[in-house]
Amino acid sequence: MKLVTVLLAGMLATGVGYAQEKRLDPQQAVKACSPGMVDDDCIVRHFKDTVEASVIRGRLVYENYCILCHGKEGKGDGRAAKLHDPRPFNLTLSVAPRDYIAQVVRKGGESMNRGKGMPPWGDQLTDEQINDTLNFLWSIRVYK
Amino acid sequence: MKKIIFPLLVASLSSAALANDYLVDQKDKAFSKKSLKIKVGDTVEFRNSDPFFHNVFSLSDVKSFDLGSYAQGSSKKVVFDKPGKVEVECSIHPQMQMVIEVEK
Repeated sequence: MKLVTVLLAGMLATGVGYAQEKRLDPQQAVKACSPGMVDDDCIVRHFKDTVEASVIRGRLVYENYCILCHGKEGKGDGRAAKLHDPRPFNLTLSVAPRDYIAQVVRKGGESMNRGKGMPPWGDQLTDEQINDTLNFLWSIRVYK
Repeated sequence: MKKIIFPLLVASLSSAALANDYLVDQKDKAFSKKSLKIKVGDTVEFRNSDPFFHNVFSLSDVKSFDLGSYAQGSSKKVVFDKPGKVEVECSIHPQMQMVIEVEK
């Protein structure tokens, strides 16, 4: 099941959002990982320069820092969403360009003339973490 | 009419005069206090002494608030007007947590 999930996520994870990372070769992954165990840990460990590994790392960053307001599925319904007006953005519906989203993440909402509730993450997250997070965000977009 | 208003005024002025101010610092990605006991009407000032942003908030039913993100040297105040337990967090640093117990 995990193999199917990962491969499906990999297939879905396409589009202009992804930068320089290469794609995971499913056959290689099956060979490198234990039979039937092509899980997140295996991909991150053995295929760290692939989009799929970046998305997995980005999801971890998201779950640590963003989920509070944007919610588990990125729909803007996190447990702290009620504190904010305007409410946190439904990230699955975003169509904004990658550079713009990166700036919002780094500088925060207020600096970008958006909601003040979005803090600036530039001091907290590394460039790699932000890149991974953007890759994750692109993977949950409805409009690819 | 005056007889009613006067005692009420005195009562409200005296309770305001008795309210205390407390300072909770944010340094090295931690609150300076893990827990704090205060009285209803007291004020807590949350100061940021770290060279990066903090964003103090609470989702507690007793007192929910969001102070927004603010930089080093800045501080923001919250008046606690109901008794109960208030869990305080930082949205940028999830490990930062403290509890304020507001007593009657």
